[in-house]
Amino acid sequence: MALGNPVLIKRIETILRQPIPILIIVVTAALAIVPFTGAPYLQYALAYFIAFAIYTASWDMLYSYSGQFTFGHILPFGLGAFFTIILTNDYGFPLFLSFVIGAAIASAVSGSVGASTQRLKPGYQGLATFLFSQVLYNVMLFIFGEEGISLSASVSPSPFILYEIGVCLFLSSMFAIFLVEHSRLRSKLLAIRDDSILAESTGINVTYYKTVLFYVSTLFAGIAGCFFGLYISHADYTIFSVTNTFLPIGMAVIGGLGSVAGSILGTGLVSLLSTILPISLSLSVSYLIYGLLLIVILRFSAGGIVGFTTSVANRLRRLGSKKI
Amino acid sequence: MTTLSVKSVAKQFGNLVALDGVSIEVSEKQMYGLIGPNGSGKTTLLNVISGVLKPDGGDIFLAGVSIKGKTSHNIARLGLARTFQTPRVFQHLSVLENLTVVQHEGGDAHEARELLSEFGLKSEMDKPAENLGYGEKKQLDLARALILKPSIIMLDEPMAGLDFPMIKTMSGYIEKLCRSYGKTVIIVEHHLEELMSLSDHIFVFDHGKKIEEGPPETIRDSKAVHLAYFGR
Repeated sequence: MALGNPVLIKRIETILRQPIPILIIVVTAALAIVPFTGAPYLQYALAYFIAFAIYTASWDMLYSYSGQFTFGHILPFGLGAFFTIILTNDYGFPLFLSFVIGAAIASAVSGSVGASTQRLKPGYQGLATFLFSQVLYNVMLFIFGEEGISLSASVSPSPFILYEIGVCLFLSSMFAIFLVEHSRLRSKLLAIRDDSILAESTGINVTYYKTVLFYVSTLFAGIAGCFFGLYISHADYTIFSVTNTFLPIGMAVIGGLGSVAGSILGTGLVSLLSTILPISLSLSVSYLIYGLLLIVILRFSAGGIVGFTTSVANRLRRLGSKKI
Repeated sequence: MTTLSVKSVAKQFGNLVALDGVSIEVSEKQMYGLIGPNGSGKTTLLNVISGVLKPDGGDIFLAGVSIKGKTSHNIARLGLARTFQTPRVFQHLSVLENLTVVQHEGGDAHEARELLSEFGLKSEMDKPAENLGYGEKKQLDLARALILKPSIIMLDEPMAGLDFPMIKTMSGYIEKLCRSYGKTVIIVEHHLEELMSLSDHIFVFDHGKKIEEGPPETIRDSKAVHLAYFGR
């Protein structure tokens, strides 16, 4: 039996002792409990956090582990939201099936875009993927108009149930991304990011690994978009906006690149600024704070919140060892 | 036995002819030198053979199989390893991981550790590769090429930028590749004395053409070589 395998049990124990899985579990537990306070807006803010945390972690996985820079990650997110609602409304698919197919279509389309642009240099790849997302912005505006599409009230489950499904998605997606980042693929992907010419000349199939990671990453972004579309029961062209395109990049940088913990912390902080803070301050002031925060992080802690806390912990450890 | 055969290979960058119908034959377990003035096409030839650049014409056979147009990773898997002029490392991986990451299926860390010890990097194994010195990165290049279990290793200026004692050390390592590990070694190098003492056979290039070939003593006295290097 696989579950009785002592090697597997030891590996699971090792994983669960690391700080990132502990953070994922703690945040999941907090997310699951908070809606019972009965504040609907708070639940919306947390649903926003869930969707954007998965979206951010998927972007970060692609950038930090293979060096592929995309400004078009909103493509799978937006397509996921649109297709889930279309399949449910127009084709009568059950919600679960719409969700799965929506995420798969989002990943297939966006992964193909990624595969077609991956031979470009990072800056050009970023620009090319961004242009694709902007094409979708206009296409969706042309097809669905400014009002977009809304999920039929008859098939829409209660926001609370959807929210708790979102919490499960958060837990499973974050763990899956963490496992991908800590699998045997990790060193191959880091090698490709460090020097793709050297990697290729030492027998690593760079194109294959980059393509696979693009599809995997866009699948998670698609899942995030499917959930977000279902939760707000609506999708329109603004989902492909420039703001939504750049938000996960800012979130990942603020939290710390190359770590699921960074994506969670960065998304948490920026979600607070964009959903909770505007209750008392205007949205413009919130975005001003977001911009300033980004500048401060880039200037003083390139490793983001995770990098800052790690360096503080290392200093404290060194001080402690000196005293002994 | 011929292990690498380059037949009338041509490569052009715009109007610049980098390789003009170059043909060479390489036999197994021998040491070959590629020399010529700067811009004569030596590195371009290595890039074309290893699949970094696609040739415009001609064909290349590795152990009798055409590798023209194949990707670099396929050529590496067919048994051709190479290093670059400037040492390249996977900087975010440890020295040991720089080897294990490129190992074929079934390879283990023990083998990688032994190779690193052989190439003078025993005490550096767990350090990030980016912290290595210039010469150490060149040593890592050799160890990484060897762990691919290639039949041919191509070294692009392995002694460039090294001080005299380090050149001697590197020369010993290169000799080991051929004489101890039984690899065919092709070296592009400007340290002619070292190259002459290492090589069994030398190819001389000028303006994208092979102008001479033969054992080192023949090359030393060749008028064509003197003309290419000194203009007289």
